[in-house]
Amino acid sequence: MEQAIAGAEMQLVVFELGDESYGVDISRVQDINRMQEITEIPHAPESVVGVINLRGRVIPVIDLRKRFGLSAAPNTKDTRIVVVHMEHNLIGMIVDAVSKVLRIPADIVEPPSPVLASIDSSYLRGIAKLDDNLVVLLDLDFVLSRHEHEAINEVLAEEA
Amino acid sequence: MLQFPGMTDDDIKVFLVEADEQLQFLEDGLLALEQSSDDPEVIAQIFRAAHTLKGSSATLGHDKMARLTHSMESALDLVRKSRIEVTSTLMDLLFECLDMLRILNREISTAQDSGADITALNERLLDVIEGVDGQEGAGASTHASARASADESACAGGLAGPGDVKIRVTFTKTCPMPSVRAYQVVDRLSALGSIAFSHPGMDRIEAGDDISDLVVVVEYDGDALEPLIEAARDVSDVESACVLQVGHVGSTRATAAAAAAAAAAVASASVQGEAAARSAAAAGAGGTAARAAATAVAAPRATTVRVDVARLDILSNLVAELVIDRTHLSQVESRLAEKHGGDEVVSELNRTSTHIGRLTTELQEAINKARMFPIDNVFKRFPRMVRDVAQKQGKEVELIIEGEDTELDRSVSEEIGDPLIHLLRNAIGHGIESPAERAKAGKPTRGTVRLSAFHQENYIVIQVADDGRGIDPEAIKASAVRKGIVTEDAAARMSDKDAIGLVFASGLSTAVKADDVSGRGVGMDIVRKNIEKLNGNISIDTVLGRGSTVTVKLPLTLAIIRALLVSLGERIYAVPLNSVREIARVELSDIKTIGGHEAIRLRGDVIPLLRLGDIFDLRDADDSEHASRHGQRVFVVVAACHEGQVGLAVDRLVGEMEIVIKSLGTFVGNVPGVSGVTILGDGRVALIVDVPSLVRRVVEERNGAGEC
Repeated sequence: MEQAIAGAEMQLVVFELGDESYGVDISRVQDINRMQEITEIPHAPESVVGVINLRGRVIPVIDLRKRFGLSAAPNTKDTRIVVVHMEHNLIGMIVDAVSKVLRIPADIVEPPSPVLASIDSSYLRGIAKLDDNLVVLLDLDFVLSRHEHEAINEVLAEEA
Repeated sequence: MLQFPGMTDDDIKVFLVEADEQLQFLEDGLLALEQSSDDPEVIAQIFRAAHTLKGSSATLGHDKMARLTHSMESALDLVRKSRIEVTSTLMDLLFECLDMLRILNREISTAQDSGADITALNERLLDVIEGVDGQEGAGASTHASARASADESACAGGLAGPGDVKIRVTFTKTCPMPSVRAYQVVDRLSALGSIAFSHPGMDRIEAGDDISDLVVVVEYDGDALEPLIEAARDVSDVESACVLQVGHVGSTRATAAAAAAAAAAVASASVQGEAAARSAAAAGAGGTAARAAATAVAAPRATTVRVDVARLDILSNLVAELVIDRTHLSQVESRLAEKHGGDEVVSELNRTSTHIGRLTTELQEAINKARMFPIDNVFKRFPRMVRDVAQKQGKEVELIIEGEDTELDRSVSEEIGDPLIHLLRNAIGHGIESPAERAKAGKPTRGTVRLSAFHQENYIVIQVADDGRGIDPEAIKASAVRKGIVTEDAAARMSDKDAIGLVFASGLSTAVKADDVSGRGVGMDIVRKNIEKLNGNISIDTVLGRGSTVTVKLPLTLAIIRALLVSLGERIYAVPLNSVREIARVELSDIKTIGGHEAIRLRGDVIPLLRLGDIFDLRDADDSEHASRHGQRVFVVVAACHEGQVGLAVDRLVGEMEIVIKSLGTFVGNVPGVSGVTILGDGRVALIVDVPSLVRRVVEERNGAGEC
C-alpha cells in the first residue's frame, strides 16, 4: 500500500499567478488559450469575467486573481486562459502564464499549509516541494464551486 | 428494481422504442375502432399491435405485459372473426388495458416495479372471451384453439418475425480455430433470434471440426437485418457475413398462421411497411397466407437509422463553427484581394472559398433537416386525450387533425406538447357547448375541434379552432374587474379586442369552477409565457356564438433564429427579430423624461426608452453611451411582446442575420434580460436580448413608481 503510493506519479499543468506556481491535474485541462476577447455577462458574480467562444462552445471565464483575492494585473503576451473540466461544464481560468507540464512523484506532495501559500488554504489540495520551488496544487472543485458561495454572499450583501 | 436476465441495456432500449410505437398503433387503432366498429383493417391493426407487443414482451421476459397482451390478442382475435361485437364496454375495457400497458411499459423504462396488478383486467378479458363460449356451444373449440395458437406463438418468444434469415459467414484462411469462431458467431446470433439450423451442425462445431464457412438460419423478428450482420462480423477472423435469403427458409414452421403473423409483424415494424400490411391482409384473405408473408418480406424496408440527439447537437455545433470559419475565410480572402488583386493565387483562393461556402451552406441545411421531424409525433397523443376529456364533460367532440406531416425541430416539438394540451382542453372545456346547448343554438350536437399545422416562412403555425360558443368580451371584462386585474373604468374603455387579450392575464379564468378540465392549474398566462420562451407568439380570434381560433406561431427551430444585431459602443447585442416592431430614428430632443424614466413618443404611443448599458450595468471606460447621448439622433429599436413594448436606444444597426442560440450554461446561470448568447461571424460572443423579460421589468418598475 505504502509502496504503491510512493511509486505513484502525478502529471500537472503548472501556471503562474503573481510570484507563485500552481498546479492542476493534467486530466482536468481541456485547452490552453491565448488571451482573447471576452464578452462580459451582466450581473454575473464578480470573478466571472464573461464568456469566450471555444470552437463553437460558449465557456465562462473566471479571473483567478480575483477569485483568490490577489491584486489585479494587466494582461501580457503570456496571459493564458486555461480551460478545465468541472463536472459537465468547461470553465476558463485566466492565469498570468502557463509555464510547464510537470511529472512529479505523489509522495512529495504535502498537506496544504497556510504558511506556504498566499491564498486561502481551503482552495488547496496540497503543496509539492520541488528542488527549485514550490507548486501549489489547487482543489479545482472547490475553487470553481466557490462561485455559488460567492453568489449567495453577494445576494446577502445586497439585501443587508 | 426490475431485471431482465440476459437482456442488455441496448436490448431494453430497442424494446422500448418498439413498444412505444406499438402502443401508439394500439391507441390509434382503438380510437379509429370507436368511430367505425367494423373496419377489418382497423381491427387487424389493433390485433397486430397486441400481437407484436406480446412477442417482444415475452422475449424480454416481462411476464405481466406478455400475459395481458396475450389475453387482449385472444379477445381481439374473436373481434376479428366477428364472434364478438365491439361494444362501448369492450372499448372501455380495451382502453383500460392500453393504460395498463403504458404503466407496464414505464416499469420497463424506469426498471421499477409499479405494483400494478393485471389480474382484474385479465379476468375481464377472459370473461369476454368465455362469454363467446357460453353463447355458442360450438364456440368452445374455437376459443380453445384461439388460445392455443396464441399460446404457441407466445412460447416461441420472437416467433412473430419475418420468418427466417439465412446467413453465410466465412472465416479468414489464417483463422487458427475456425470452429471456435463459428461457435461465437452462432452464440452472438442466438442473442438476436433463435437458431433454426446451422451448417455445419452444432455437433461438428462443438467437436472442433475444421470449417471454412458457416451457414446459419436464424428466426429473427427485428425490422433491420444489419444487427445480424454486425453481430456476425463482430467476431474476430470473420472475413465476410452476408444474408443469403430472407423468408421461410425452413419449411417446418411455414404454417399459414405463422406466416400471417410474420407478415403482420414485419409490416407493422415500420411505417413504410404499412402498405405492405394492407396488401398482406388482402392477400391473406384471398389467397394463401404464405404468399402474404412473401409480399411483406419483399416490401421495401424502412431505411432509417435512429441517432442520439446529442450526436446531432455535436454535428450542428461543428457546422456552426464551420460557418463562422467560412465567414472569416472570405474576409481574409477579400483582404488579400485588396492587397494582391489580380494575382492568380488569390483568384484560386477565391474559387475554393466560394466552393467551401456553398458546401457549408448545404451541410448546414442538411443537418438542420436531419433534426426535423413531423409534428405528428406531438399530435398523435391528442385524439385519446380529447376523447377522454370530452367524455368526462359529457360533450360530443370530433377532433380533426390537419398538417400532421408538417416538420419542425425536435427541440420545439418537445416543448410544444404541454401548451397544446392546454389549448385543446380549453377548446373542449370552455369552447364547445353541451349537446343540448348546441342543439338549442341550431348547431350540430357534435362539436368540432380542428388542430392544424402549416409552415409560414421560417415559422410553424399551429391553430386550435373550435366551433363552440366563442369568448364574450363583456364576460371577460366583468371577470377581470371582479378579480382586480383591471379597474371598472379601464374595462369600460377597453376595446373588445383588448378585452379578449385579457385571457392571457394571470389569474383570470372564466370557468365557473376549477374542474378537471382546467387541468393542472395552468392558465393561458402560463401558455403564453411558454410560447414566448420559445420565441413564438400566440393570438386569439373569436366570434361570439361561432367559436374561437387560437393561433400559435413558433420558429421552426429553437436553435436558430433571425435576429437584428445592434451595437452599443464596443458591444454587440442580438435582438430576436420576431419581437422587433420597428426601428425609428429619434431626435434627442424628442426623448422625454416621465417620472424619472426616459420615454419617446411614436405616432401617439408613449414608449419607455431603455439603455442596455444601464440595464446590464455594462459600460466602457469611455462610456459607450457617449455616441448616442451626444449625437443629434439615436436609433431606437422598438421591441414588443404581449405585455407591451419598449424602445432600445442603440448606437448602430449592424444588420440582420440568422444566429445560433447557445445557453450560458449552468455555471453562469440565468441572467435577467438575457435569453442566451450567440457566436458572431467573427467568432465573438454576443448577448441575446430577452425582450419579454425587459418589458416585464419596465412594466413592474414603472407601475410601481406610478403608484408610489
